[in-house]
This record gives sequence, structure tokens and C-alpha cells, in this order.
Amino acid sequence: MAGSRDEVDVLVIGAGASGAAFTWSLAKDGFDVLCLEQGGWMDPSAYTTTHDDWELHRQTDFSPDPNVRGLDVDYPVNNQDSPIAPLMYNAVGGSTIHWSAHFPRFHPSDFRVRTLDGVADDWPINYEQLEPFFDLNDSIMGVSGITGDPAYPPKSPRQTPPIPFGKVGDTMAAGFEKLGWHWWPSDSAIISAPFDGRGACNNCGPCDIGCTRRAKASTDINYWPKAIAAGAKLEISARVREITLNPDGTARGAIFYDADGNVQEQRAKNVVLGCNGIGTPRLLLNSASAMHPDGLSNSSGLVGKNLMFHPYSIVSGIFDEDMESYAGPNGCSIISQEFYETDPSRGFVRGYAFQIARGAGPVTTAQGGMGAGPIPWGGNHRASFDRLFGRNAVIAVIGEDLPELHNQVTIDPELTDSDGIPAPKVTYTMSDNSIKLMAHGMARGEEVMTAAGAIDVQINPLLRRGGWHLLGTARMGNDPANSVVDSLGRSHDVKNLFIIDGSVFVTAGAVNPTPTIQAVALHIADQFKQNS
Amino acid sequence: MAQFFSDEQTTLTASILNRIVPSDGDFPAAGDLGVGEFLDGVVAGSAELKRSFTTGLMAVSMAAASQHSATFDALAPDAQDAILRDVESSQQEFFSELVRQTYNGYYMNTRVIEALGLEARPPQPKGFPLEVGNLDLIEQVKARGIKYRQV
Repeated sequence: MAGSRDEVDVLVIGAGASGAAFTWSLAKDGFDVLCLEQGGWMDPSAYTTTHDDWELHRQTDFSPDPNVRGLDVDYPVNNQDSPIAPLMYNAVGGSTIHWSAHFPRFHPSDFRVRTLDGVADDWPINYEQLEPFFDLNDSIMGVSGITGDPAYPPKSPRQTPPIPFGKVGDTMAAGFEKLGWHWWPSDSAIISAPFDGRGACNNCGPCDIGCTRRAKASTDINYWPKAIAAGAKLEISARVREITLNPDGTARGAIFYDADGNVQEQRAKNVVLGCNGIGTPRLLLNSASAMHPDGLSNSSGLVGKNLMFHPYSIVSGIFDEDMESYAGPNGCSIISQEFYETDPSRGFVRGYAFQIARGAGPVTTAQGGMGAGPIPWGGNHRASFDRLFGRNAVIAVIGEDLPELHNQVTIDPELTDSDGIPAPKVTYTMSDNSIKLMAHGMARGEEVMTAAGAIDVQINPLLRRGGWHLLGTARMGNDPANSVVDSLGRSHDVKNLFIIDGSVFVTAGAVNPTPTIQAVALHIADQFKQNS
Repeated sequence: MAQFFSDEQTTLTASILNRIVPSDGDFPAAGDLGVGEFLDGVVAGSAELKRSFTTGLMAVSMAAASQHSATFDALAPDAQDAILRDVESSQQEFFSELVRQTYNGYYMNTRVIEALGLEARPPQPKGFPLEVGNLDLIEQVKARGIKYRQV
């Protein structure tokens, strides 16, 4: 029998990017909020960037792929029917623990793709509505960068100056200038100067294995301490199995496994899901009942559908000089949005961005980094390594994939997590438009690499371990037949159930989604407060 | 003292690793450097790897015996490489793990890192100096005008 606890006003499930922002917003205005998180607290001082075997951890217990980590706090994801493996981290802070903190916003056009390009759907909210929440979020996360980017409407001042370019950024910027293409110093959620009690980045490189200096924003070090100080409650090692309902069809709370493995029920007046684009549909589908036989809040049939990842192609350039490319935040230097907006003459709609990434440490370089595979063994090995190490720059081509019903999250019939909760399966293929778009991006990537002076360019057409962005699987819209939640994040079917993570995205844009995920979560929080 | 490899396997592994990453100037060959010990530790920690390495190493020994009536370590480098290429295609899982772990052990070794001209230390707490870069160039980007689509 489930243990029962006092009812709370608002129960948030998931303490990642969206859950932290939402909880903070409510707690600071006096709301009674409890968040349940299946993972635990990370200790920044224990991250392995101070260990001699630091590079091995991204292959094992700090892999971005939960199937490789296989920790008890993770859940497995069947990714056999997808060329892109979903990546995530489970802890207070969620995937901001292991992200690279590249922090570009969506553009105004991203919210109007049906009107502008006749594909997918428009969002029920727009850039203008989100703008104050983008700015608010930046002020908590801490963003380095510089205003004036002509690819965006004007932004508020960045919290700290841009991340240093290093030779990689300088060289690539010169390449873009040679072609007259847009580029700009990346907005990065990594502070380049002390901010809010956090230390400045010292350009150590591997943001993906955790930041000991707390220079990289993760919500466990910024939003959560503020939310808890304001009175929010956060319970760790609490893994939710299903959402329960009252006889009147409203959400009653959640059943979860507590830290001791005991089943508990937490009752709440409102239930809010921030479990990412895979965890949220998984939970809704696992919450099927007599009233909701196809899964909770699924009268539209769209829970789990329209999964979008952003396909990544990797264009690696090798230069004839030492660029010290292992130094500097590995995902952040400069961006280009020359090919972001639709140009019908290209033969596809929507577009892509270039994210200039840096090289890697010696072990990861030998393993091929984000390229197609390890460098050769044998007589040519050492020469191959020396040609590459410290001398490479990387263009990550990030493309907008459109929502398609056949790309989806379902419940795997056999796979479960360590508590026996059924695990998700992803099914994904790239559409003709995405394939054309990525081919265009690879060709332009090669062009700018060559303009920058690369002596050799190698291309990995599709990065398998590149499913960082989990979007679209419970989308927002005004029509209950065609969406799962409304413009306030409220379920069309269950009036006290809200979704605040990347699941609600109608389209994916062609930029890393976290600033937009958090702005949407803050917008939903703001509306929730106004309507309470 | 090896954790998993027998004496024969230890000798064989060192010879194999010397061909995966051969010596080159200041860089020692992987087997001579002792990467076999690292590999032994990795294999000892996984039942799956124990199985695949036992089979894979046996395949190398048997190829040397059947093709050359000799032990692998007694063969010339070219003959060793030919055998390894055969095993690479016949025992793919073993071989890709062998290469991966050899690179892991080799490129986190202090001697190798110093031969690369780097300080043998983890990225933190020291970090790296990094040039701020030529921010003046952004004026040219601005001068090319608004780049986003008006809605």
C-alpha cells in the first residue's frame, strides 16, 4: 500500500532545466512547491576534470548516453530503431550537468513556420511573448556573449564578455569573413568573469564531464539554491511511476519510489511535468488508465509523436599549425546563422546553424572525437594522430528536423528501469527535407573550412551519439485535436496537469533548445501565477 | 601480476600492442610502455570482455601457428600486421575494443602526454590560457545588416 503524504499545491516532476526554472519562479512568489527528482545532487568538486583518467569517464560513468552509463538513477532507452541515440543526464540539474552550454535562442520565425513556409504548425506563443523570459533566464543562468548580433532582435546585455575565441574561433571567423557569411561570438551559459558567486571559466575544455569551477551554468548551482532559499522543497532519489487521477478526472498526484525503494503517493492540487521530451511522454503513456486507455492526456493521440532531435553533421578541418584546439570550452566559440532562415532556391525549407566546436584531449582525439571513428592503428598511427591533435576545428551542422508522426517515443514491451518501470523506445528517421538540408550544410561547412585554411576536411554525415535535444512529443497548440497542451502548458484533457519541458515544442528550430525550453517554462510559470 | 591475462597472454598482448601503436621517435610503442597492464585491468572488470579477449587472443596465436608455425611475438612486423588485419575483420568486437582501450591507456600515459609537449596534468584546476580573439571583426558582420526574418 502506498504511503501517503500531505498534499502540496504544486508538484513538479524533474529537477532539470525546465523544472528548476519553473519551481524557482513559483517559490519566489510564495507558492507551495515540491519537486521530485529521480537522480541525486552532484558534487561539482568531485567532477573528474581533476583526475588523471578524466577522458575515460566520458566513455563510461559520465557518458552522455544513459544506456552506456547504466546507473541506477538512469532509465534505459531502446534506440535500435533510430540512427540518433538520445542523450540525457539524470540528477538535480538534469542534462545541464553534462551539456556544453551553447545558449542560442530561437528566432522570431521559428514560431511561425506554417505561416511563413507552409510546413508543420505555428506555435500558439511567439518570440515577443517569450522575450522577457529569455532575459530573465539569462540573468539567472549567467550568459557570456556580446549584443548586436544581426541574426536576432536586440537582446539585453550579456552577463559577462564572450568566451575567448582562441585560435580556433579566430581562424574560423576569418573564414566566414572571407565568404561574407554571418558569424557571431556564441551566447554561452558559461561565465567568462565571476558572476553570482561563481568562478570564471578557465578554458579547461571538457564541459561535458562537469564543471568544477561552477562557471558552466547548471540548474543545481543557480536556480535550485535560489528556489530552495525561497521555500521550494526538492526530494531526490524519488522516481515517479505514474500520475494518478481523482474521480472527477483531475490529477490527484503521483506514485513514486522513494530513496528506500518504498512506493509513495504524493498528492497535489497541480502536477507539472519537466522530464524532457522522452521522460514526459514515457510517464504519460505509463499513466494509462480506464479513463485514459491510450495514456494520460492523449485524446489527440500525439503523446510521444513528432519527436525531434536536430540531426548533427560534423565537418572536421585539419590545419597546418598548432591551434591548441583542446583548450577552451569544447562546444562554445562562435556560431554562424548564414543559412538559418528559409531560402526556397535551396530546394528545402527551414535551415541550419553552424556551431564551431573545438578539438579534444589526446584520448578523445585518438578515438576520433565526433568524427566517423577512431584514427587508424599500425604504422601510420602516430603520424595520423600528430596531424590531428591540437590542429583541428569542428563545425557542428545542426539542422531543423520537422515534426513527423512516425518519429516517436513509445513504451518498450520488455525494457524497464531498476525499479521495474517500463522504459521508452524511440523510432526515428530523417525526412527528405532534412536529408537535403543536411547535405547543403555539409557542403557549406566544407566550403568555410577550406576558406579558413584547412588542409584537409573530413565529414561525419550523421552523428549517432548526438541526440542531445529531445523535443516535440507533447506539443502545445490551441486545437485539442492537434496538440497535447495549450499555450499555457496546460493539458487539454486534464486541467490541473502542465507540461513545461521540450516536449511542448511545436517545431525544433535549428539551435540548441535550452534557453527556449527555460523561457517557455518561465512563461508557463508566469501564466500559472497570474491565473491562481 | 596480471589480474586476468596468463603469462602467455601477457607476452602476446605486449607484442600486439606494439603493432597497434608502434614506437615513433620520442613515443614508445604501446606494449613496451606497459599499456598491456592497463588493458588487463579493463578486461578483468568485465565478463563480456574476458570472453571476447580470450577468444580474440587465441585467434591471433592460432593464426601465427597455422600460417608461420611460430609464436606471434617471433614474427616480423609485416607478418604480425597481416595477422592483425585478418583478426580485425574476423573478430570485430574484440579488435575494436582492443584498439579503443590501447588508445585509452596510451594517451593518458604521462610519458606520452609529455612527448606531445603538454604538461602531464588533468584540465583542472589549472585550465588553459586562451586568446580573447579579434572582436573588432564583428563590426563587419553588423555592417552586412539584419540577418533574421521579420515576422
